[in-house]
Amino acid sequence: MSDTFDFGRFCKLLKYECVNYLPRYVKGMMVFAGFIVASWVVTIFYGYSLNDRTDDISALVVFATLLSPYFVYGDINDRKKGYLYAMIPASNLEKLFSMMLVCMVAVPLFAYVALTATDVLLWLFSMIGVGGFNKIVFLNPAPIFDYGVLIFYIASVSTVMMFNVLFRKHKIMKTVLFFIATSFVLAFGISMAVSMFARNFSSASAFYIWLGYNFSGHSLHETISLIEIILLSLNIAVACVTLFVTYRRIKRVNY
Amino acid sequence: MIEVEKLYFSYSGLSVLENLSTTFKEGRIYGLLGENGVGKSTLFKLMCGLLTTKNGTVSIDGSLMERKPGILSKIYYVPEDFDGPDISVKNYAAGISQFYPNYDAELFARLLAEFEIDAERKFTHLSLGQRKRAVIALALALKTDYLLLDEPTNGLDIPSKTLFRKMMAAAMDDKRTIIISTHQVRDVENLLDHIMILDKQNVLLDKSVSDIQQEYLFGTALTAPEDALYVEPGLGGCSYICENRTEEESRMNIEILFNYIHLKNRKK
Repeated sequence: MSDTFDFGRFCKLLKYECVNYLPRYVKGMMVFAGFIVASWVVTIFYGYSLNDRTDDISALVVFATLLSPYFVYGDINDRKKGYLYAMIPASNLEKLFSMMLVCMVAVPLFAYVALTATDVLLWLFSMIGVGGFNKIVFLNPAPIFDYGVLIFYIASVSTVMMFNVLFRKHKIMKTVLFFIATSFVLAFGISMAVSMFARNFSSASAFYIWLGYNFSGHSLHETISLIEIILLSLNIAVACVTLFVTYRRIKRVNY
Repeated sequence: MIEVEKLYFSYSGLSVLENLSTTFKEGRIYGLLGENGVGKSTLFKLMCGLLTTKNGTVSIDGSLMERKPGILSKIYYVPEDFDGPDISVKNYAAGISQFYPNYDAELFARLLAEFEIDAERKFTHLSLGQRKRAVIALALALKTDYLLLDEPTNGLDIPSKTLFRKMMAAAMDDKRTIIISTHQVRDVENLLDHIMILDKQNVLLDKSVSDIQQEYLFGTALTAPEDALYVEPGLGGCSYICENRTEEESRMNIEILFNYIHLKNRKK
């Protein structure tokens, strides 16, 4: 049996993790289901648009997915509890793939089914209109299959997976702080770069003329395509780096 | 066989193990003894890959210790504190046992019954002693070649300690190595067939029980013999250790042995 990857052992690991770790997630899902109920109450009493619940469900599925590494694998690097995970006789690659499958596929599916089921049950219970379920499943499946969205999704979940194995305590708070700090740094950097670039122009109007010339019509489309390519490359790079760091951390974490 | 060679480990620059070398052979139950903070738990964690060595090596059956499936399926570690997952004992055992080829489900059910643990209960709903009994039952049923037990009798009641000794003795075979780290030496005194006493930087003693019994004579008396190496007063007499100049073997008193070895080491 290979020490790097064995499909039979990988299936056993996946089964083990689904049985051992997903029940923790059920508790978290109850909180999210509570939001759906709240949304329903708002719908009934305040005339909140029924279709808006579609967005509520989508947003909650996104939140549930992004928080899943913390709920499901939150204690794998805990000094006291994490040894159970570390001692599972499976390879680090199998552990990474299993974590990816659970966080990127199993959990979102579970969240999606649980939240839409809550919505449908509420609808059946009260017989008011059509819930978010119909619209999400039957009318608007396209965005899920957009490869750009898919890469962004993988990059986002793998980034959270990485922070989950890097931080030992206050993981969610540290992740949020990291993103806030990164946003500040990026915003500051970009504004500094733009202002330094703008200094090359004799006046503000000269700068705006240059912008209009380069970012309109045909040039605008080219620029947007370029930005899309850059973003796609960036997302692929982020996914690769974060998954590699997660792998290294799973392999090397001390208890 | 587990081989530890020139092992060094420190926490934030504070060394715990320095240049430690020893071997743990098959077919023996080792008692790993030492004062608090000498690195017994650290050594366990290094031996099962939960800590990474800074210098030196730990190898298991000739392979360097790494968290790889082939090595991890040979070794099971029961720490002193065990919280357990938030699922039933039965489900946890069913999940983890898939990875251990020698797992004996019947033995696990029998051990649980003897320890009076309800397999349907969640680990999180069990007391410390019950959790410990459940995980010891699992550890024995997994039938790994190497079993590392850190303070296994802590939290066990008196009948459970008796049962623990019985189970350990029954679980032992020629291929297996069991290493027990404990301060509760009386709980495991009759089980051990090899004693290892650690100090902060040295292995103070690494001998089989039969060698120790041939080398030393243990006894209790109203007054200690003149040639006693170490004497500990007690109610109505004293316990002592002296050199064994006869062929006779006495029942080993680990507490006396431990205190004597430490005293000898301090005098050096």
